[in-house]
Amino acid sequence: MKNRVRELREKHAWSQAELGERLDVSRQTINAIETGKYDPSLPLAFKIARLFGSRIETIFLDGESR
Amino acid sequence: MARFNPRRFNAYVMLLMAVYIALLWWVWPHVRDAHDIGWKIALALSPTVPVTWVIALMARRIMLADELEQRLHLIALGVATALVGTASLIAGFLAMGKVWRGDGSEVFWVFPALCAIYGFTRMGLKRRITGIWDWWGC
Repeated sequence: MKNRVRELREKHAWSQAELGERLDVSRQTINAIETGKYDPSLPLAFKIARLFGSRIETIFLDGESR
Repeated sequence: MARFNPRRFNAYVMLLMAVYIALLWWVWPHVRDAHDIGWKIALALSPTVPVTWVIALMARRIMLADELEQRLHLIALGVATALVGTASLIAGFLAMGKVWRGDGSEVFWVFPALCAIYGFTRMGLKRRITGIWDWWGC
C-alpha cells in the first residue's frame, strides 16, 4: 500500500525518530511504513492521520481502488 | 512506552543461557548421586530456573514492543516452534522405532535450539523489512 507518510513527515521537518517518538513506535517501524514494506494497523493509521490533521484515506492510498 | 534496551536484553539472555549450560554440565550430573529426595528434586529442576527467567524476559520484551516488532517476534517464534517441533517429532519417531538410541538428555537442547532459530529468523525478517542487520536486536 502506498502512503504519503514520508512526504508529510518532511513537510513538518521531523526525523523518522521524532515521528516514531510522537507515535510511540520505533524508527525502524516508521522506515518500514514509509518504504511500503509494512502496512500499519488501523489504530496506528488513525493515529498517523490525527497527528498530521488529515483524513486516513488521503495518507494511505489503496493501490487497488480506481 | 519504555522499551527493552536490546543490548541489555541480549546480555541478560546470554548470561542466563550460560548459567543454564553450566547447570547442565556441572550440576545436573550430580542428580543421580544425591540421596536426599529434596536435594535430588532441587538439582534436577535447577536448569529450569534460568530458562523460566529467559521466557519471562522475552514475554516482557514482546509486550513492550511496538506492533511491527511484535509481528516480527511472533513470526520468528512461530518458525522456531515449527522447526523444533518437527525435529522433535522426527527424533521421537526414530527413538520409538529404535533407529536412534538417545538417553533423553538431547531434550535439554530443545530450548537453546528454539532460542537460536528464533533469533536468526527474527534477524532475517528485520533485515528484509527494515533493511537493518540488527545483531543486538535478535
